[in-house]
Amino acid sequence: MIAVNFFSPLLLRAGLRYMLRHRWQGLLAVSGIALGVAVVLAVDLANSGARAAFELSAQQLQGKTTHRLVAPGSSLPDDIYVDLLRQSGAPPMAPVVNGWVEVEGGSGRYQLVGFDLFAEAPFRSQLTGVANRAGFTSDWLTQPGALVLGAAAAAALGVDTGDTLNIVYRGKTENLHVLHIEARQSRAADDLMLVDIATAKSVLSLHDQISYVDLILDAPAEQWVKLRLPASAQLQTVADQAQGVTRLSAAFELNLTAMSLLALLVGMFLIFNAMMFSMVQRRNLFGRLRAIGVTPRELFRLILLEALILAVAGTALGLLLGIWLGQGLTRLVAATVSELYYNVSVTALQLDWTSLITAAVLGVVATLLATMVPAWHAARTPPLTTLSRAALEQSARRGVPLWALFGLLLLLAGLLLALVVPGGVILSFAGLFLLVLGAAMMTPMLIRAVHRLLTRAALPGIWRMGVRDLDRHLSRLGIAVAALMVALSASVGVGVMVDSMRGSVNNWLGDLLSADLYVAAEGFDEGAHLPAAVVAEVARLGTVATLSRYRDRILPLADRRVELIGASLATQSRRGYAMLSSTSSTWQEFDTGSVLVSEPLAYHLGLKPGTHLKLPTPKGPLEVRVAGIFRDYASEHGRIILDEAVYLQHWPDQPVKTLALFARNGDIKSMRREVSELAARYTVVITPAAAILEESMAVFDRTFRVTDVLRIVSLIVAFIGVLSALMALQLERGKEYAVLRALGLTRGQIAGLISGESLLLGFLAACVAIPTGVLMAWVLIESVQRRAFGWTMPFSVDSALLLQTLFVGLLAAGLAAIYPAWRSALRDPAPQLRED
Amino acid sequence: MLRVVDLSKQYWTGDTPQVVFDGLSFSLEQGETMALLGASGSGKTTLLNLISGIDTPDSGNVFLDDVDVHALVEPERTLLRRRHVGFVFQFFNLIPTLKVGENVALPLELLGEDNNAAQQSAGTLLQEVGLGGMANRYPETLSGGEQQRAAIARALAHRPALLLADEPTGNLDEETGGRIIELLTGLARQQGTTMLLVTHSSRVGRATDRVLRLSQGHVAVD
Repeated sequence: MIAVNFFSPLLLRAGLRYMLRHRWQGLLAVSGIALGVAVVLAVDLANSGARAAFELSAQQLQGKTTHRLVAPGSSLPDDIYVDLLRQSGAPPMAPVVNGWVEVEGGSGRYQLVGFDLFAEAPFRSQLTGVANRAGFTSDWLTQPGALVLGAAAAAALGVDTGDTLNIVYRGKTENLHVLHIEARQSRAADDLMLVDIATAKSVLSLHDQISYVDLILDAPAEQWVKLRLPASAQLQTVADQAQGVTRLSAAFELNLTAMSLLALLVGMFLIFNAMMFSMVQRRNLFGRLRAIGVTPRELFRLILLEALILAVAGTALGLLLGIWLGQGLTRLVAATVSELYYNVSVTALQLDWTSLITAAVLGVVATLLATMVPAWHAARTPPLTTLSRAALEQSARRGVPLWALFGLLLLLAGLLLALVVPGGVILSFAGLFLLVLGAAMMTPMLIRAVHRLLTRAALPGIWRMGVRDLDRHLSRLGIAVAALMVALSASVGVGVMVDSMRGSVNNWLGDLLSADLYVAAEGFDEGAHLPAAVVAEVARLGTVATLSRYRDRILPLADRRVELIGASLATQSRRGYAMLSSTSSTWQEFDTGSVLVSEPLAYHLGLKPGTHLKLPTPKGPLEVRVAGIFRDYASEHGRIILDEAVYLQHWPDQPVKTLALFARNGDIKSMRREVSELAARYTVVITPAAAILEESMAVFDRTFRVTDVLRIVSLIVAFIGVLSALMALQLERGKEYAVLRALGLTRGQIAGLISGESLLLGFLAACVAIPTGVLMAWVLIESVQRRAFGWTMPFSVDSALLLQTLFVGLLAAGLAAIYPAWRSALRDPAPQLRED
Repeated sequence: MLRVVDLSKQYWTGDTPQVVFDGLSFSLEQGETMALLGASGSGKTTLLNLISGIDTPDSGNVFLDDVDVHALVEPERTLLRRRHVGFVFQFFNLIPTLKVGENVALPLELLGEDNNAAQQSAGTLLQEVGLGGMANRYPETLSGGEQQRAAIARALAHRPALLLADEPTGNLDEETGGRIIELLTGLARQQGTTMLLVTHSSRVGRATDRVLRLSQGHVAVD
């Protein structure tokens, strides 16, 4: 038999020249790949940037530390450190005091870290490195309020050595002066302010307390510490501690990643679209090649090689675009992560090789995958069929019911995976992708149905042509409509989910914030609390009819940072809790020591009324009974409410954090005046429920800003898809338009025909996108949100959003038609009529 | 060299069968040239497609050098075509993204010939068909007659055993068409290539050794 060359250079040259001759088509395919890759990379960079900034910051503070001694959810008494240090054989230890502060007149938060200079040497170089400078040690120790600052932070605050900074902590201001500005610090340390441990204690009001003790331990030393550890303290490895914090935002990252993959999916449709066009346009060429003896395998390789070239170009462009987009997105993600999870300070994008390689591989693989079907199609068709103009459309039309059936099966499989098969959030997303893919495969069937419907309607001549073209060019239009549909449905799905969540959070907060006025400690860290005098005096005010008291602390429970609230709840406050699972005696049980558990925690730990839960307390584990499950969106990690009296038995020193006040006889004005007079003597914050609600909703909206950006990018990708489809179609139908022009159609009529067809495509895409998007939202709410965060919410669909989708679909299609319509209308018909 | 035995083919238009051939048989000897005459729609092109293995018959056989073309699987038929068959089409069917010289070199390169050698052979053939100096031009810059000359050069480049020409003058004026037929038959005879030429023109048929008339699915020898 004849040996077949792996590749004919002439065939390759023919393919490359085709691409050069049809630059627009190549450019649009490259744009699709580039945008898909860019979104994936940007999200990945933003996620990893926020994570890396946290890790770098943590590492910088860790130095050579291997373990950390902490009191979970609280600060550590000085005595524990001193007692350990005094014992013979004590390993290296360094006490640290830290907390988040603000600078008067500045923006953002800074981490104030207090070190003991004499204990620091084995641990970190931040201070000991500087300490070698002449006079530093004596100044550091003798000047109260001495501060070491990174160069970037100093520049941001506009201060120099010797300047004074007014540091604000829980409403209290303290003056610190800049002793030294350290230029060698990394980006991650932008938010660090280093002070002596005594200064930190004074600023952070931690008398006789430290935040934690750092240790350098080998195995025997670890044993040594464990043997001497009091019950209230815990020894953790630094790796565990960092992991515990970064794990907080895993679900948030996953959501963003899913959105970016959705953009890539739209991008894949685009590539599929572009390659399919290129195959259709070259059917004659392929027919000629097949007739002179080019094998299907050689054709397949040729097409894949072309796709590879497009993939490399698109991916390279996508990487650059992704880095640019990543810069903006990193700031948005960092802001959201800081607001919701842990404080990160990211001032510049950090290029992560893993992200770059992942996005590059994804771009190339996705392009090749999207090209497989068109390549197979072109290669497997016998030469005669390839030569026939109508054969491909005939075969596409024949395949439509089969694709629709396969799509329906995929859609059902997706729903099954997401809603029925037990599993994690990854399974939910897998189900979501199958659902979208299934709906996309069913789209051509809908186009045929609409075509049949419109054909029956008596449309005027030119519009009848447009409608018939739907069916005539189904192989190409079907994919373009599917691409736009995927982008629009993603937008509807996420939009409905966000709207439903917004409505639920709004209702939940509205019910929960039932009091007339809230009094809270100023400050934003875990330990913020109200002065005891305020609590006592407020209770005595004549204008206050009744009040609820809240104390809280963070408890580590089953790898989660659960908020344990000790509450004395007024009857009105109790009414604010929406019980999802309760008994008639829930509140009686609560009063006798049972707990109320938030929905996310109950979901993750499988709790229900009547089950038991073990809480770690300084006196050892406390077994409590679950009295009820309440709706809660405050924390995905969970909240537990315990009666104040029981709470105080285990954490007697935990002060009150918030008071909820109910006015006597509804006279809120008088109560507010009395409380304000009282508050003037203390640093407390008085907020009406409405203001809290407003601020909470503002935070909610900021959180979803990132999602909005990704929705827009997906739509841009889909817009390019429609543009690419129309451009390719115009290219192919050049002669047809020339004939129409010769028959007397005006330029305006040609442009109108193209625009009308495009708008019809946009309309169809929106029609499929709306039910698909609603189904997506259902999966997002019932499966993704449930499995990722543990909460449920009532499903609500805003008709305005659906109308908006229809408008966006028409707008994208209308905009995409402008250039092809203009180009086709202005084209001189004569040369095209001369072509064979 | 070529034997067509009891070949039948029909197409379906909805539920109605359209018989193209019914038990068609004929043969061609090595180096023989034959014209297949027939009106439009008589199945001339279909016959060429069946002989080359592009299309498949409902029944019957096509033997090319004793190889039963339709007993081969599709990739084998493609390779058989690549090696033993040359094609000349009515609409030239040159590859628009390859220059004229590259078009002619393509069959040689597909057979594994070195690119330089293929280009050299293509250059020689182009000289023979009167297109010397046009190797570096794209097909669309050539006139119809020149494009058909290039197509003939491409069809004969790999010295095929069988040359199939489908209305090679159908798209050309009479004078140019006459020269093209002269060139085609001359080169085929010079190379000892068996040629089957389909046409609706009796004048073209006179240039070949034999003429076969195709009418209503059967053949008649002149």
